[in-house]
Amino acid sequence: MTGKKGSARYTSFYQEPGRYKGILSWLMSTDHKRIGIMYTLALLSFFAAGACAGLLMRLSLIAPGKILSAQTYNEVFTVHGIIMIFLFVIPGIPVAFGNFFLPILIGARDVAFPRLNRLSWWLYLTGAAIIFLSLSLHGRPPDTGWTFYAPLSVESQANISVAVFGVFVLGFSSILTGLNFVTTVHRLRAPGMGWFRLPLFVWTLYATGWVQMLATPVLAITLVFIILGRFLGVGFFDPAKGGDPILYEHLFWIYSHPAVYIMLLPAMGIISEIIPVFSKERIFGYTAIALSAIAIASVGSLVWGHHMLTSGMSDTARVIFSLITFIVAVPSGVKVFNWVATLYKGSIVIVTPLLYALSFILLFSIGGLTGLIIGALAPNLKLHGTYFIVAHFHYVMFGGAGFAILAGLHYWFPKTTGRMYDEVKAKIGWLVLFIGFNALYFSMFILGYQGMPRRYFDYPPQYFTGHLVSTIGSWILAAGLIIIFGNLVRSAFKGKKAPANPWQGRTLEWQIPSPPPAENFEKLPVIRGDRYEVKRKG
Amino acid sequence: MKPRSSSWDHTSTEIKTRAAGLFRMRLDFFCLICLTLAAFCLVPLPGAWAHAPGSQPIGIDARIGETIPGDIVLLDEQGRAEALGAIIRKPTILVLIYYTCDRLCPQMLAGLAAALPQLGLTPDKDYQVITVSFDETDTPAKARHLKRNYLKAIEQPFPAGAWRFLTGERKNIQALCAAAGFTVRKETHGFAHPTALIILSPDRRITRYIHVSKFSYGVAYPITFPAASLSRALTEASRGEASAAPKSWFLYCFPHEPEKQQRFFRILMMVGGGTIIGLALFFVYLSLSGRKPREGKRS
Repeated sequence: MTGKKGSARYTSFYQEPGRYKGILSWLMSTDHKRIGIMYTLALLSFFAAGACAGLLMRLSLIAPGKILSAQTYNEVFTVHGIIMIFLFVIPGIPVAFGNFFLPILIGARDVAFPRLNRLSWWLYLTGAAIIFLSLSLHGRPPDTGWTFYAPLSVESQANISVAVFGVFVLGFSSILTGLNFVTTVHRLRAPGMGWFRLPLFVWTLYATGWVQMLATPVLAITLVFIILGRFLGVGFFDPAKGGDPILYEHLFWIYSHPAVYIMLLPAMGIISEIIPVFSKERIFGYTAIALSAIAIASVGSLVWGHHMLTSGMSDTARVIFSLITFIVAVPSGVKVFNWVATLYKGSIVIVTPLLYALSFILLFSIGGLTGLIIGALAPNLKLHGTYFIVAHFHYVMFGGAGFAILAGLHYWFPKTTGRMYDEVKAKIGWLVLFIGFNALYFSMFILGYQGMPRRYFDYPPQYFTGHLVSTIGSWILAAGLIIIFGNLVRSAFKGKKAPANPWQGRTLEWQIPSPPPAENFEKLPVIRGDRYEVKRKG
Repeated sequence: MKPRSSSWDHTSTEIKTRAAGLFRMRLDFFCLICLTLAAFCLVPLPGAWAHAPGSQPIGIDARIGETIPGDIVLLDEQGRAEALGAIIRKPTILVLIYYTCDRLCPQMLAGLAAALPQLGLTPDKDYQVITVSFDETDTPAKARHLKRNYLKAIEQPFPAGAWRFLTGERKNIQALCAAAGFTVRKETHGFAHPTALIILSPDRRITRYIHVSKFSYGVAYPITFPAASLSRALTEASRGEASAAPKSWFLYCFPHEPEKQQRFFRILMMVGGGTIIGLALFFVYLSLSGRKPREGKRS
């Protein structure tokens, strides 16, 4: 992919000769763009595996016991959760789009520690390999749910230790990525790129980096306690030995709630990039959006207890956690209002990335507002153990982070591959996915409100209709995903050549050729005056 | 593309040397923090041992047929002192609990409040209920609060004098518990104690123990008292008939806060505090050292 930029010929990072040839030229690469591409491909493969497990669960639920036994169902939903959460959505946007675009967006040639970045990638691969090992080793795959709640995870006969160790390794990958990104933003901003000239995606990656460094060690140590409990009988979570199972829940959610923001903050960052580009408007309330990312990251670290409102905490603790949960909704609301205000009176161009961004706003708002319903103490007591939670969770994770990943994939597709995707097929894919998504998950809100308990492999006959609609939705959703990824894969090889700036974007990645050259910029750009305006030095 | 200049090489070496020095310094600093934290973890925590629970066994030594001394003085909900001899003049359900309990005690009272209207007896005439706290720090104000709550929980008019919530000084409480055969133990957060209703005749003789032996999860009333047996027990008590000591087992109500957990939390707190301080220092370091844009290999 040797392209033309102005009068000078250039070599894209795909073509850049390195020390190694073939597959090693990728695996040994320290180029943030190559690492980003490898992460993206790995993430999407794991997403496909997780989606298959999800489809299997849904299929089983229209004929309980006929396809999967109760034990197998437990294993499949655990595997679905572990893969989707730890291998796909938590690393998700930072490692894929963050790696590729963070240095470009701030006008740098690479991240601050390129070799540490490669180590993170290797750790991620190792963690993933260990998790898949836990599925295929002698013995049963994990069956505790992705939360590994004690005492079940300490007592279960399944391969918990191996899976937990895999997650532990992934945690280190995450911490190192956070450290790398934070240092990069501090150190490598181009001349003139002040804090309040940073693209909003960078702001969210920066906030996420701190959350990764602060929260992930808690998960790591918690998982070590599980392993110690299983092998040495240390009773951190065993009441008979002076431990406490509630302690596990606290430690687990001290990490895993901030992890929700590790997934969502960068997703919001992508949406904040896409909306101004396709409404041809300056983003409304830049400072408010940037600071709300920091607010979400900090307040979001204090709300973990709302996952445990029915676990046996004091009323004081429950009331406080419920209150902070309401407070954390405020900065998210600020973002939503700012996006809508940006669209207002804009010259909106309806293309696929914007469709995903708009559906993100809708689906994330449904996910967020139902989050307030279950964050309030009284309704939580009724809804906590039901499908309502499953629906809320998927509206936030898939409708939020998932749709943002798809938005980002389409928005930056011309830049990463140097080719354009087929717009018509992409729009059809979006529509099918959107319909399937709502059929699949909205019916779960209704099922949950009617009292269908979550995690059960069987149910009384009155819930059949809801489950049927949901399962049919899962098939439509799968069809949508096939159309979307079929289109992207085909376009990556056969699409039209992409110009440097197909969307008339104003951020730095659109000022360099598609795909970018090996060190991004011939000369480091100097940012002057207008926030996203770029002038070349000399 | 600018060819690499010698001054760049010089700067690069200098930066490398400085960076190596800085790294060594940070490594030393890191080791120091780890050692300090480890030393903190080894220091015994006086607080943890001071609250170590006693080792005396708890339980019920059934004293059927024995009389509760009438000179035990307790405080009523208004803080007025009254002797038990004056209080107990009719068949009585005696409940020994403590008022700050958030485990079985409130469930017992709720179960009792649900059973009382179904007894078929007239409160204040055929029987009365006396709840006594064995926690000497419980006050008449707390007792008033509980009384208001549980009278409301009965969900029909109930004479206020027929369910009394009493508190008392340590020596009186101990005398009452000893007379009733109740052994309780102070724990770090609350008490460990057996759960039972004690039925007394009008002349303060113990005629029956009704053990709490079942706790049902996920229902409105986890602890229930069958109205028929409660009513029969009161009727027998009014005639002064004592039954045999119950053979059924009973539940213990206890707070679960093992003493070593305090130490564990302390370690967690220090490690967590260390992480936050470490990250704050990292932020300060990054902010102070400022921007260091790099030229590429090819520049």
